[in-house]
Amino acid sequence: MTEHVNSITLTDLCRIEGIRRDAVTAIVEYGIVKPQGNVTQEWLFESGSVYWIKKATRLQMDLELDWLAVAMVIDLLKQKDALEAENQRINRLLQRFMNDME
Amino acid sequence: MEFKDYYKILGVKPDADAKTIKTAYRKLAQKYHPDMNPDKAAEAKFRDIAEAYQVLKNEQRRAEFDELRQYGSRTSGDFRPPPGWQGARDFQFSQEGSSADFSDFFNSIFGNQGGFSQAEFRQASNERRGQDVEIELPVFLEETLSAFQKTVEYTLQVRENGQVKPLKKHLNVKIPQGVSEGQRIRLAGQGAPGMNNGAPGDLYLHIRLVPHPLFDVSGHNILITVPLAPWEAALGTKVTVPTLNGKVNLTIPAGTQTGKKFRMKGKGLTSSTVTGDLIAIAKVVMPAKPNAQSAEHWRALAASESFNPRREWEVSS
Repeated sequence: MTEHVNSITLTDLCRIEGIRRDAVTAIVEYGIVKPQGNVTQEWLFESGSVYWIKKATRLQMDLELDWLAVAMVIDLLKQKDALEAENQRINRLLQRFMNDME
Repeated sequence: MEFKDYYKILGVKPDADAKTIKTAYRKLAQKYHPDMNPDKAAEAKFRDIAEAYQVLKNEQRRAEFDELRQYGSRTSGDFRPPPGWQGARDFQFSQEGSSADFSDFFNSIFGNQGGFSQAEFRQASNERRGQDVEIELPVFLEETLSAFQKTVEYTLQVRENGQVKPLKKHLNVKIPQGVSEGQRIRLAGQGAPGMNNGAPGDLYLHIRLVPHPLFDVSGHNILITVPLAPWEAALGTKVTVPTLNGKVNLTIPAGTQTGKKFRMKGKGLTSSTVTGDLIAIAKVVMPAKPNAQSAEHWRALAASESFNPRREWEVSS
């Protein structure tokens, strides 16, 4: 049986994922993800956050963006995901009230 | 080995200046970056684009590539560097965090020759952590009510003796109670194996709730439509409503409209901190075309009622 891991420390995140510490700090400063814990040493990132951290790092490097631009892109991507999910949900519900065209 | 013409990949002329190359890269990167474009083909395309830019943006590397491009032999797709070729004298750049992974062509020119001492070489390019892998995990709504086990099957692309081979994996995973749509669960070390003693990557399970024939999900609440005959909606009735685990009784009051909601506390999805509700939504359903006898009843009703279903049209027109 494989147990899942809920969260990851800053040190492990940098070591395991090969992400620079200053990159993670910038990502947190710009509000792209919110770790648990108040001080850097206590930071804990959940798996969902790691997904966005990796995405942010890739975008920053590959598109040569500054962190403010990355934060805006990620914010829009999150909004897009949320809207798509909402749209799908509403569509499904709507279908339950719809019948075929006459 | 296949020759990659980096100029062609970026769509620039071989004498393009640095600014043109940068502009071309940015345009293509925006379009094909795997984080912006979910298409699988885009990912491969971006890898080529990033590789081309890594070479052409650096004067020295570009000069080496130009030399190679001019003097290397190309016969029927097979490329060979010119005799005595030695590239990448100060080759060092980081792939950390980048989504780019360089081709054999690139590595053979820039990655594996000269420049590095033995130790640096091992550090810089040999020992590599395996890639993280993300797979979608379909989960039934009923399963989320408690912790459950799931067998996960996936295929890793493993590099062996220079060849990429598929490796099938099976895992028994314990999924916690109350997982939700879009949630990610990390399984450390279950991703692609590392290269040359590098650690394996992680496996991420992306939870996708399977659409249910009866229920829809809204946060922690679940929704169900309750079909009602016109007379049930008119006179009121009692309905037994299915939930994710059992049934509940619901009283429909007289004069219930389509779209009217009824909340049943605590019958929704459950996580360790929250329990949602079941929301029943009334939907008045007409029976099939009435026979002569039913039609007579409807006509009698129509004659005695002054109900106007289209009153809102009159207000606005």
